[in-house]
Amino acid sequence: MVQNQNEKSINKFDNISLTGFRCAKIFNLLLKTPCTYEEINQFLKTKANGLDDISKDSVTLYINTLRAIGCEIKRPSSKNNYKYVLIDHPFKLSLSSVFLQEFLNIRKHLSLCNNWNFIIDNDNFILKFIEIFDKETILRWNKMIKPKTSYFYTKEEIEKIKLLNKYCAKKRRVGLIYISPEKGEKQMEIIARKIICENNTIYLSCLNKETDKILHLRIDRIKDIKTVSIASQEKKVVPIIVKYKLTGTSAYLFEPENAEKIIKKNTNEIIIETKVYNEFNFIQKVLNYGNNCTLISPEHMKEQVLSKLNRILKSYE
Amino acid sequence: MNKKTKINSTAYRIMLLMKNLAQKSLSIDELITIIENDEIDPKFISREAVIKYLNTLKSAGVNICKIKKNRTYYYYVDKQPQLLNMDKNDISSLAFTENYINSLYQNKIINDFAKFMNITSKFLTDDDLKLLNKERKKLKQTQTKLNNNYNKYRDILPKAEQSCSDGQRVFIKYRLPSDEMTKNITLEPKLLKYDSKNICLIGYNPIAGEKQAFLLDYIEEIRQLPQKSKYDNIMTPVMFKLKGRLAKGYNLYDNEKFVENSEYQDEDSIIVANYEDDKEYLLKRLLRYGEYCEAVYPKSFRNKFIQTVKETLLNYEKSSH
Repeated sequence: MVQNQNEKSINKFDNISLTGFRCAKIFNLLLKTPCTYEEINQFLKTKANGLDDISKDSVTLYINTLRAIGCEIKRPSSKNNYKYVLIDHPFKLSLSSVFLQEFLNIRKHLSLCNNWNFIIDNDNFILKFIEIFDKETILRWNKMIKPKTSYFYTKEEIEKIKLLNKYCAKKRRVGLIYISPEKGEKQMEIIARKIICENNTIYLSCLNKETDKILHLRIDRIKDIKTVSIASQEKKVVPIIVKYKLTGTSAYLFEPENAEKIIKKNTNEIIIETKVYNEFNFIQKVLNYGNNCTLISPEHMKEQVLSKLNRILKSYE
Repeated sequence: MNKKTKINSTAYRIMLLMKNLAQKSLSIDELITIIENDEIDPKFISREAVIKYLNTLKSAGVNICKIKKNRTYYYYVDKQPQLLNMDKNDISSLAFTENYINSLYQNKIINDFAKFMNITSKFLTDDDLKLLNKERKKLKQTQTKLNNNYNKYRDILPKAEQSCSDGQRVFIKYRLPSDEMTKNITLEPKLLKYDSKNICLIGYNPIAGEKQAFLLDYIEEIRQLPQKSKYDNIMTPVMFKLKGRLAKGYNLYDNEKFVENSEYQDEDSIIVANYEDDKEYLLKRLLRYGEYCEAVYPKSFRNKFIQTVKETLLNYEKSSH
């Protein structure tokens, strides 16, 4: 004898509470999408094998039961198309301040690798992870994250970096608005070259059309991308050949990167030759070595370093 | 929740069990106690009722697992109701991060991350978990430059890390390539500081009376001493003044804060207090800021800064002769 499908289905539910079953099912449904009473009823009839319609009062009872365990559910109204909307629930992630601090320390370590792809992929994941935090954890997290810290990129900044990376791949001409600390907002026309990461910060390396110089623009200071067009034949940027000397621990620990090569080496010092596209950045790098570094050539950059050092000393008089 | 609001008691108890089992594993007796002591709807229930509730949750699609510990079964929700919305890139990134963290060779960070992965796995779909394991296997077979950054420290790191967490003084033998002799140093180790390629052990030198940083590359020996560290909580801030464009757009680092109403402040400047342990690193960073930055406190740091600038200028003088 062919069993009636509904009877077979009901047998499946021996030794369970049908009301509990329905309540759990409604919760799962609302997790996915807001629902009207009719949608809940239809769902329960197909999934829970209830033979009869569930009354509105019963649905209200189940919704109140979910609220009793800590769910926040908005009742149907004209504002939400008469749907029950699950705003919050107690199955989210609760993390202590100690754990969040450990989590932040891990993120700090990741920023040391200076690999921008890695950094934004991680921050993207962290943003998704935050979505499952409960309210108290979000409050703790927001207290711990200082505003404008360089350690986290927002969703908008991540999207901006990915978009700029696409423009870099195609060497697009981009009109953007940049927030300069000195001059405030300014419009710039640039040719996008590549995304780089230095000192835990992500920059757009680009050619400034106005000055024909390579710039590194901080991503968080790019306010808006206004225009994008195909660049006319790209002017080849000629790098400056720079020689510098390292002594002390900087010399011992030095490992050539990119265009760098050691051209002379003795017991206490090494001389390095490299190609430089952005003078300002390179001078920053030289200063960062402190008294372990001496710029040898070209003369004009050497003068810039000396001038800067003399200005620093003067400010202490 | 208004106590008079009508709820379905059985459904409530079932959802209450689910809520508790999502947080940790519990025995049947513990579940009975939770329901008995509930504030909203306390009730004594039998073991059979709890089993029925667990069956209800299973039928509703909740993945209830059980483990045996000391002859007792404990139940838990294996998969959280709300899962993370991950794509392939997220999973790859997670696997890559795990691999990178393991390459730091620091047990505390590795263990912290393992805790994080344990929690995260409950919020991943089965497909995502499979993909994660696949990515892990792939990464084990490929070595990247990123994962080899700190390979040279794999032997000394656990010792150095242990010395920081034990709260005991250590004896270290330290020799830079330029030193003729090895230096013997007593140190109260505080932390390990990483940059993109190197690692420093930072601690308080009780004989020199200051915090010092030692590159792990040149530590020949670390040995624990019987004395406890005494100067664990020394906070020696360095204050510096920022002027001009830097004062307008400066973003604080992690261990910094702005100082209000400082005696060193003037109209167009701001004062920052930095609690960086590695003063050498801080000094070099401040050099980058040029004339827009002035070290103001303590005097020893200010003098050291001036000295460094003078020495650098002298290097240029010597090289031009």
